[in-house]
Amino acid sequence: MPEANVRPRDVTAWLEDAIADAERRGLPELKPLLESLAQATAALRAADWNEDASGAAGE
Amino acid sequence: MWNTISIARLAPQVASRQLTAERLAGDTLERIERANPAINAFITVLGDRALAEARRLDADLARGRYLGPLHGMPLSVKDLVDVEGVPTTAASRVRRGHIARHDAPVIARLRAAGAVVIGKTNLHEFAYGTTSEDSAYGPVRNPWDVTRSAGGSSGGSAAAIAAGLCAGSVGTDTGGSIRIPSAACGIVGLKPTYDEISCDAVVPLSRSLDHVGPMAADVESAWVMYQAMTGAAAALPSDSDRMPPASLRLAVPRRYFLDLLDEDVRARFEEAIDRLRQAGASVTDVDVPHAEMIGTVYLHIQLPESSAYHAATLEREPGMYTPAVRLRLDMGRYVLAEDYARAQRGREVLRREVDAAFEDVDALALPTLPIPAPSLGQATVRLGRVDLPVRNVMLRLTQLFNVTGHPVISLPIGAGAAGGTGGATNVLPVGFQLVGRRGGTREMLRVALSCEGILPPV
Repeated sequence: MPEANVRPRDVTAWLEDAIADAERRGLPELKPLLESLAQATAALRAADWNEDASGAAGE
Repeated sequence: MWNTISIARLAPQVASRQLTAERLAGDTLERIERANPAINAFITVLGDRALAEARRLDADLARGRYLGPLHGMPLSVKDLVDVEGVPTTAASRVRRGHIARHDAPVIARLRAAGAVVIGKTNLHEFAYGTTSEDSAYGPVRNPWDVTRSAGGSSGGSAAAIAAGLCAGSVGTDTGGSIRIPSAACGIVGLKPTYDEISCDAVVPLSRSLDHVGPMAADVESAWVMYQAMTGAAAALPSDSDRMPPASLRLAVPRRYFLDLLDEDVRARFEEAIDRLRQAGASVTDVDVPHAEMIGTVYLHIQLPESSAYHAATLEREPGMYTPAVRLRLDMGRYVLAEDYARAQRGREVLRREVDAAFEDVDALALPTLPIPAPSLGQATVRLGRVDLPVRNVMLRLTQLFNVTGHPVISLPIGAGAAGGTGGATNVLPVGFQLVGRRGGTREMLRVALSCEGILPPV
């Protein structure tokens, strides 16, 4: 199971931690899949429907 | 090519007792014995049991008890759906030893309508793939060209129908798994509105995206199966169920959906649109503004939902999965909850945009697969100037409607696509999707009944 200390703060940090975790678990083949997922996650977080708790306009 | 079995064509012969259910089941079983070794469509064949069911249905008919157009029709079931007393393997070693205690509700409904379950069909392991190659029972092969994939994940169901090894099949569709193999094998596949047909006793892939639906040789046959699967009385469509072609209002979402297409697929699709226009249909263009986000939204919903279901077995026996499926399941365990929540918000946006596309139209029209059936083992495909993963390309035109829940049917439109873009060397079928309003599966089927006779024949 992935360890709980994977840091959510940004996609780059998340990807570094996820790859390190996958390698620790003996799954280095996950690296290209995680890199591809990270690109998709970055796009998701940049989507114009995301809201901002400060009240800045979302979608 | 193979002779498919049309429920619509054979039902009157069974009703009039010109053709017995036992003869139909027996002939079908003989064809399975001859053809299945080449295409590997079936995991389990229920020979004696199917013949016994058929004889009972013949006896019912002799006593005047006719159950409708599915009476005596030999159907197959994707091996993801429970059939009482039979293993549900999900094409995985993880499921070894499983025997279903009851029929899934959808199977019980089909049996009540007179269907004979002839066997369980091969699939991509746990429905987690678009090619039906990663299976504990070996890859499904396309009846049109056995060096090619039958599509997936319901590849065995589509191959069996295309090869005339059953009259229809129960498939499942999470990102296109009914429609993709239907397009690859030249048959009809229907994904109804979300939650319209019960997914109980069906091994899930991603519960908020999973759909169960019929696959068949033609729209009339799919119509009959759909009615029975929803619990309605099954009947063949009447003339009044067909919309006059001149009254059809269709829209094509060109941007994004037609941007990356094999040139043969594009030519067949445009020919189909031309034919519909010539028949009097109105065809306009429409846009889905956030279309480029479809894959991203889909991924962040599907990955963690699938991984949640498999978490325990991934910990206990990861080596029992095929390697590619195990990796995708593991990947989903890294998706963060906040990103799943963002994707759900994106889903609402996409759903509203697809709803809005129906303002003045009866159905959306677009290709099913951007490419013809890929070769077995093919990892990438060149479209435009880039090499893209086959999996991503195969899901590109179908997964939106799993995200939004709209009903979709894939119809075969001619054969003529090739392995290479624009340079036909062998002949493979192409798929044409018609998308209906949410909750409007029956109305979408009426559109499909009208279009079927106009579209280029396979």
